[in-house]
Formats: sequence, structure tokens, C-alpha cells
Amino acid sequence: MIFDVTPKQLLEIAGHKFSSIYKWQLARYRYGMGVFKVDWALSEQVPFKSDVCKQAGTVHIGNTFEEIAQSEYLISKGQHPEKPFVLLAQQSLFDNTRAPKGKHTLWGYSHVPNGSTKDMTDSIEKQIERFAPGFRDTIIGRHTYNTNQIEAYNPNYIGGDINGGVIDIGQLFTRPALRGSPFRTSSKGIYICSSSTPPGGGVHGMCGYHTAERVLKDLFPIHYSVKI
Amino acid sequence: MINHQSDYDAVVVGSGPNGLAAAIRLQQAGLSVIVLEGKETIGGGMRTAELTLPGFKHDICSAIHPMALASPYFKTLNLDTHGLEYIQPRYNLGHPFDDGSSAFLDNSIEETANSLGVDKQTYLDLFRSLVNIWPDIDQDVLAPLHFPKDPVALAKFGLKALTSASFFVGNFKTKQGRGLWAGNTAHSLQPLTNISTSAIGLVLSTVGHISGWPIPKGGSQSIADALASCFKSLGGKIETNTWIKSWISCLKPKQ
Ligand SMILES: Cc1cc2nc3c(=O)[nH]c(=O)nc-3n(C[C@H](O)[C@H](O)[C@H](O)COP(=O)(O)OP(=O)(O)OC[C@H]3O[C@@H](n4cnc5c(N)ncnc54)[C@H](O)[C@@H]3O)c2cc1C
Repeated sequence: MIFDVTPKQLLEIAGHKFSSIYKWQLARYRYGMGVFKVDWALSEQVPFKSDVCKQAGTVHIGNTFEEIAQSEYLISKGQHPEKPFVLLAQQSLFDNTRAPKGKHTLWGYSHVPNGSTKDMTDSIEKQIERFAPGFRDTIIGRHTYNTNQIEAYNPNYIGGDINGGVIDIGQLFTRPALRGSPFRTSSKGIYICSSSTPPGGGVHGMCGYHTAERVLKDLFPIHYSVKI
Repeated sequence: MINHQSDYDAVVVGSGPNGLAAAIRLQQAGLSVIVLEGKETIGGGMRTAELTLPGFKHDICSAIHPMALASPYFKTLNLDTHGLEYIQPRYNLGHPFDDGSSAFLDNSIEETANSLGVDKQTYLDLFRSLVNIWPDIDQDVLAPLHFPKDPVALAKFGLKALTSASFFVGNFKTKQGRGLWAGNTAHSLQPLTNISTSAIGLVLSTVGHISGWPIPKGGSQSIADALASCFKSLGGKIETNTWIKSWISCLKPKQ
């Protein structure tokens, strides 16, 4: 059994199969900041002042290092910054399958405290407007997700944490628990392969790949030697 | 519904990129594998849907895929033969400032560095060396702790990566260089004073200079669909609408 879930869910599903130490380790696994997600339908592309941003797949809105560092610091203290750091993606500029001809999509989020239900739409749109005056007039549709809604959509995003747990120095090498193999649980035959294991969040499949290698070595040594 | 679990060597719960990668690797090794997904569609953080108006396709979670393209495992799967096409934007990243100027991350290290004023040489030295050693360390950086293939190269990366973004930013003097660094390290979802927050910024910029920050044609769902197609072509089975909320004894795979 291999679980693409995070420690909290693994405890709920298979907790009774685990040793008390392993259960304790999973229970103290820490989740990090959440995200507030917004998707827009636009009548035209974002009217950035900067020509570079008009041709960029991703745009980071946050001005200086100091402003961004301050925004992330406040969030880690459980607050909502007035000028949040905002990440944007402009897929439809480069992929004409995303929106009707001449129209555009915009994808964005800002970080928020874990479990926050505050509606960040206004602060996020103000931040975009700051670098793209007239942005608000291009909006023809909008969809938002606060951290609760993201978790309801995908139970792996606990409190809106999209990395499956904090990747700080305490959990960089030991996610989800300090053991011989991070993918093995204390119960023979049960493994965890989600982004709560190394190397962590993002779409790369490396957590799953390493889990499978572990499973083959532990349980199917003959198959392990089958090279790909 | 789930009924024949014991016919399989392995059961994977969840069809995100990691669940599908694990399932494909096991199926490749000759095991019989079934993936159980709670939702009605597969993909985890790789789904695309019309969230706003008809005809507008939005990536519900992930959107930009530097790590999918740079993934040492996905590279071996020839996902293009399963319909996956990556598109490279003109600039990977734009970062605007209040004064109307902007910094950017281009595939070219030189072009990126040229836009950073007096930080040009610092940027060139840093990323030329990281781009050079990346092929020797990518497997190790993207893996659990173990003895590395090239310990010296990995140490060169590790000494920088383990610093905090706030410490490392001292290498940059210009607003452009510093702002660009802040945006890339903020992907760590932590205060930038935490140690090791430099790691994500270094990795994202380095792979940006090697393979770019692409978007998948049709949306992130295309990556999920290509992985599923690859898995099924090897004989793997997928069942959706199957939430595993508690332990079900029939989940025990045959052994
Ligand atoms: C808003 C947002 C933006 C993001 N942007 C990016 C980006 O641009 N680039 C990038 O690389 N990454 C991005 N990410 C992160 C990325 O999506 C995740 O790191 C990645 O999807 C994690 O993969 P996974 O396989 O571990 O889990 P997931 O992709 O979360 O998949 C888990 C799957 O398991 C299923 N599941 C969970 N519990 C059960 C159960 N009990 N029974 C049955 N099925 C279950 C879920 O329904 C889901 O399909 C973003 C995430 C979010 C939320």
C-alpha cells in the first residue's frame, strides 16, 4: 500500500497499524503557510507598465526584497499583509487553447497564514493594479479559493499548505519523520510517497519515484533488478 | 468500486504526480498496480478546469513547471509520446518595480545578468557555476539524504543552499538583483530569515537557465493525462471516485 497523502491523513487511515513512536512523529509533523488562490477571466491581457512583464510566463509582484521579506514575515506571525507578495501566471499569452480568441486567463495566489479564511481578493488586485493600471477594468470573471476551500478540494493541502508540510531545516531531510527511509512507515508494506517526503513540494514525481524504489528493494528484490 | 484489490501487487492511493510516478515505476518493474483516486478525475495538483466562464481553462493548482521538465524521472518517460507538449514563454519570469523598471529571468544567464547593473558579474559567476554542476547533483538534490554521486559538487551547492535568503541577498547590491532573489526564494513559503530558504531560489533559477519555466499546452491536466496514459500503456489500472477514509482490509495487496 502506497499513500500519496500527508501524515495527518495517513494517521486517520492507518494510525492503528503504526507503532506509538511513529504515530507521535507523524502527529508532530508541521504544516506551513497556506495560499489564497484567484483565477481571473480577462477581456484583454494584463496592462503591465513593464514590457517584460507583458511577455513573461510568471510575474512576481512585491517590489523590493525588503517588502517581500516583510510580507512573508508577517504571514509567518499569523498576520495578513496589506501589500502581499503575489505570484501570477499568464498561460494564455503563450497557449491559445486556454481562452477564447483575444481573451485571457490569469492565475495567481498570495501566501496567507495556515488555515486563514480571509478574502485576499482586494489586496491582491490592488497589488496588480499598482504595476498594471487599468487591470481591474479587464476582469470579466473571477474564481477564488481560501485555504479551507483548497483543502476541501484536495485533502493533501492541509490548511492551504501546497508543499505538504514546511520544508524548513527541521523537516528538510527528515520529512515526514526521522527514520532509515522516509518513505517506509512503521508498518510493513505501508509506504508514504506524497510531497510530505523528500524532496518536497512541486510537480516532479521524485517523491513517488524514490518511494517505488524503496518498495521494490524491500518487498520485490527480484523486480528491483529490472532496469528501466 | 474496489473489489479485486488482492489481484494487484501494489495499491497506490492518490493520483497526484507522486502517486502516478510511484505507480509507473512499479508497473515498469513488472508489478501489477492499481491507483485509487478519491475525486472523479485524476491528477491531484495538476488539474485544469473552466472555473470562471465557458472557454476559459484555469489551472486549479500548479501552473508553471520548471521541476516537471527538470525531473530526472519524468525525463525517462518520454511523456511527449503521450501527448504532453511544453511551451516556453518569452521570459520565464518578470518582476516589476514601482519606478517602472523590471528585472527578469530569461533562459540565458547572460541576458538575465545584463539587466542587473553592477550585480552582473556576481550573477554570472553564481549561475554559470551552478548550471555547470547541476547535471552532477540533480539526482542528489532531489532525493532523500544519502551519499552523493559527486560530494564536492554537492557541497558547493549545499553551502549556499543552506543559508537564509536574507543572508544570501547580501551578495546583490541592486534593487533588481535583490528583488529577483526575494521572489524566487519566497517560494519556500517561509520567512526569508529561515536557514535553507536559499535552496529553492537557487534550484528554481538554475533550472530556469537550463530548461526554462514552461507551461504545458492545454493546462497542467495535460501532465496528469500523459502520466496516466504512460501508466495504462504499461498495463496499470486506475479507479476514480474511490476515497479511502479508513482502513479497509480488502486493501491488502497480494503477497
Ligand atoms: C494553488 C497551487 C499552486 C501551485 N503551483 C505550482 C506550480 O506552479 N508548480 C509546481 O511545480 N507546483 C505547484 N503547486 C504544488 C503542487 O501542486 C504539489 O506540490 C503537488 O501536486 C504534490 O503532488 P502529490 O502527488 O504529493 O500530491 P497531490 O498532487 O496533492 O495529489 C494527491 C491526490 O491524492 C488524492 N487523495 C488524497 N487523499 C485521498 C484518499 N484518502 N483517498 C483517495 N484519494 C486521495 C487527492 O484527491 C489528490 O488527487 C501548487 C499547488 C497549489 C495548491
